[in-house]
Amino acid sequence: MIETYSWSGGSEHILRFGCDEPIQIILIQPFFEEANRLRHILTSVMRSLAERGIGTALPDLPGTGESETNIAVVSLDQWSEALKSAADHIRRDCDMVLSASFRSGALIDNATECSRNWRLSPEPGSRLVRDLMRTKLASATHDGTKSDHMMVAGHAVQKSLLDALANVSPATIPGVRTVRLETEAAQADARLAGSPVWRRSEPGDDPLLRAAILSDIESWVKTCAIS
Amino acid sequence: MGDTVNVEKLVRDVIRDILGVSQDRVDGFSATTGLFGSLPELDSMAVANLLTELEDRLGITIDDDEVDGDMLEDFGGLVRFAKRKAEG
Repeated sequence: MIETYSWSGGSEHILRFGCDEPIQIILIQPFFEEANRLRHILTSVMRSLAERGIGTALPDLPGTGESETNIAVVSLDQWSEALKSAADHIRRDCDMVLSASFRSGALIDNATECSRNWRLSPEPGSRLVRDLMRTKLASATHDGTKSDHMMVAGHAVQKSLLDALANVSPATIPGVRTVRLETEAAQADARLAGSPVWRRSEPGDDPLLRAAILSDIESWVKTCAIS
Repeated sequence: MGDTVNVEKLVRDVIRDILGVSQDRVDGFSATTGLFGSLPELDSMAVANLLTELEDRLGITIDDDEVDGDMLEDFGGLVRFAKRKAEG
């Protein structure tokens, strides 16, 4: 079901599965294009977790997804503030809220103030911005924007947003569980099978990755519930 | 990561995973198989994703001024580049 949550700049949608369950996970999507590439996998993992008695909530942040907020005026602080409001919204009617962030979503997961946090392939904001700039360099048609804005994934965003992102890294949170793909060189608590769908030219599915995410989150939730 | 065979396999895997080229097709790539300008899946957006994925898998950083026609012209050039970067 789709609910709305309020933040200081308005209200946004939040997609929920299993909202009556005592344990809820707030999912934090990556920023920009990677969110589209992961959307299908995230929603199917949400359905599967609901079948296993675990509730999930996927908020639109201001200017993303179905949001009516203009992304051209959004700041990183506002994304954090909205995410905290979304977590508080879920917290009203359940016993435990956990966070699961995907890729650059980990840059703001501490805003949820959850005591237990899970991350898939987090990256520092500097890498996200470098990736965006590289894509921009590669596509010569993306230009002609206002001087204080820049075209990113088809949207004009404030340069100050990119500057802020470039200077933030995933927060150090005690006990955070970090999982990565088997193919990634960086350190992780566990390795998942599958391919980096967030980087595919065409959005798609990867049953291996989907199953691996589901399995790891399910067993992680069990350890959270008993500790 | 410095092993030639492994780096070559890694580059094949990245092309398969990022560009959606089938395993059979990518297995048939030789050093002279053309990439940028020859492989329709490798458009300019895909180049950015390909390079970033190579960085993640090899644990390297590729500067934009290292990206030139030679490294993307054919499969052999990309493997040579990846191998040189992997060896530091």
